[in-house]
Amino acid sequence: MSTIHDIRSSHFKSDAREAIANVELRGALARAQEQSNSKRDRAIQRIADDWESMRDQASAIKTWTLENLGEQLELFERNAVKNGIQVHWAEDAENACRLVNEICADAEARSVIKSKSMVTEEIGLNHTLEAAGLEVVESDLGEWIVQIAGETPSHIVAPAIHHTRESIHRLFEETLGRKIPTDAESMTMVAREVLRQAFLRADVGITGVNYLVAETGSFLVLENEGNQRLTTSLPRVHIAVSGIEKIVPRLADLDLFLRMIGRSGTGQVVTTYQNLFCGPRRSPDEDGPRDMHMVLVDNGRTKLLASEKRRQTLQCIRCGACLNICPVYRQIGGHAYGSVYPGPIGSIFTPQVAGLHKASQLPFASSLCGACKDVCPVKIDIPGILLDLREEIAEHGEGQRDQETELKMKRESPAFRRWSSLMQSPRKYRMSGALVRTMALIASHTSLFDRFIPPLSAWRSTRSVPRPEGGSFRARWRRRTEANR
Amino acid sequence: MSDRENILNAVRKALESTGDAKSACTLPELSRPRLEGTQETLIGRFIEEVEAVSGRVHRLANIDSAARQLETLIRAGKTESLAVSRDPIARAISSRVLGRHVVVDPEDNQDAIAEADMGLTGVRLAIAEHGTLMLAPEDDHGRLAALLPPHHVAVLAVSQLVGTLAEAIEHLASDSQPATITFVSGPSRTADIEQTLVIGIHGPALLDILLIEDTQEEDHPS
Ligand code: SF4
Repeated sequence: MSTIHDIRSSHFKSDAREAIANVELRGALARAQEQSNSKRDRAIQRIADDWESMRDQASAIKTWTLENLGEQLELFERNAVKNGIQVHWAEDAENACRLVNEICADAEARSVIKSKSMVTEEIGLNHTLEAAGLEVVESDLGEWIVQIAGETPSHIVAPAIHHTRESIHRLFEETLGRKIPTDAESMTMVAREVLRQAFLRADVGITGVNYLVAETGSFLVLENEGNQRLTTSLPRVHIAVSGIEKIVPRLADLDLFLRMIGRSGTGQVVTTYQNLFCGPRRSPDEDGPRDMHMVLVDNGRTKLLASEKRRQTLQCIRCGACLNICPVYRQIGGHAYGSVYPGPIGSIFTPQVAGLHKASQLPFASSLCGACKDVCPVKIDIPGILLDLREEIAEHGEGQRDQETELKMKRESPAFRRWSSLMQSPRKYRMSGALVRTMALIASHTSLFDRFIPPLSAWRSTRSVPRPEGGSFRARWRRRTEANR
Repeated sequence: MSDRENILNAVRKALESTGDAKSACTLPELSRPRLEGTQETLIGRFIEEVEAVSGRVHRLANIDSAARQLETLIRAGKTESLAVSRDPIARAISSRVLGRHVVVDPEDNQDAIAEADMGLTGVRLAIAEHGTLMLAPEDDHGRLAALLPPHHVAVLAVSQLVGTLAEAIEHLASDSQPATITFVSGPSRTADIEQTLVIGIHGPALLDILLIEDTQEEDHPS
């Protein structure tokens, strides 16, 4: 059975309410979002003319690959095996964890070092390995912070984004049992020292994967810190865990994706390190891993393939841009989504993979403003898929939703059905956008709206209407790029 | 049935149900970006990009001037020990510099490199458009020397510079692929504490690139 580790998305409403009340959290999120968005804008402006055609190409490559997924996976496997990589397949989280556990046992490992990987969070790998008596250390600074805090990541690119410097400082002093300076640089150096020892004693290194390359049987993983280089250089064994959708057909495709993912996610032109793995160590390199394993994980992904629309969910390159732009994420942060995949992408990925009954509120955790679709480098129609999921919840109600959702549905469905029809037509959408902006301008100034205009009054009772800033996102975006030419 | 068969069957079944849409979709041709201009343009762009990500490039005429530059770096960083990969140019340069060297050899243990203050290695090639070094550890056994010490000095001949990432990938596709390739753009960095940029976390905090015009070894009076 496919599942997502530690899922508590059915508590979405109460968790979100709690998050909104947390002033420290909201401050941290707002600062972080503003910074990432302005960095992203600057990085993309440098190539403004090409950006749209790059998105088209990236999306087309991903679409093609998903339509040929079976052949591409088999091709990858054949070539990877030729390169000396041991390839394993896991239908669900449980089997994936068992496989990794067995590899560790065969290697007589006692200590495992990990570099940031969302899929291992999804399958709850650390939990399984620790239960088997292994020491598991997360080596990405953000992941390590989250690990010693006993939490899950709240952002797919910046796991500890919900923490302030003060809270991290408290955590470090408590964990290490000594006084340390309070500035970010000194704290980072303390982490370097502590983690370097963990690298040197690790027997197995575990990483995720950004791109599997079918034609060469190699795979690429991105990072900034160098922890992944260490994870794949010092231990005897390297285990990579990848969702089956992470595949691209050609080595040359990497060029396009590498130019896009850094700009989209962290606003970097490219990430500091990009590691391309093509097998275990070869003479005269005596330091690489002796054994290299690849675990290909389904865990519910094949369920998404049957519908052309929903299949797009699997195009995601996990850049994080949709989280950074999302007004809902900004208010509630990652943890309220109750899944290791938060934000807009999480709201479509989690319910499809873990089952609608486990996360029926998530498709409603969006105002359908469309910003996520506009920033997505592979052009996933997130609002469209959200509507599709809402429809399914509405139609097959029984057993697919909890009481909270049931109630919401009753109040909101007529309005959203109209919205759904608007979303299908770009012209109607633009016109309605202008109308809504005008209404929202009134609404943000007055409470009349709340009381007198159903169904918006029901919707408005749990949300504050953001004040629209001069025109649509599309119009603002155009102005900004023009101003920078 | 095995997990492998189950997954591949599930993929096939799901895609068959939407069969007709498939034929319409083709894999797009890639635009393979190139940088226009002379070698001087490439060098200029390379330096600009490396500096933008907090690395440094030193333009040097030959191996002797590279050795002098290395000495300056060693003095400035109060470097006590240097790990040198087997790259012939790196060796030629380091042999002209006095000091405690850990010359990386098979017998060498990890600890000696881990304790070095500086690592000196070669590169397979470098990419101007993003200020990137392409390292292939099996070329010169420089995997740990480029990674463990807090200061990485890379030796690069002008002739190893290409314009774009697309070109570098084409080189890779034509060669037999090395087991590991690492693309390096600047020193290691993190922003995990309140989005504050800190240079140097797990990888090197300092990256110096010795860009050498002429790497021919002249007869050197000993
Ligand atoms: S859905 Fe798009 S924007 Fe969001 S993380 Fe995935 S690729 Fe990035």
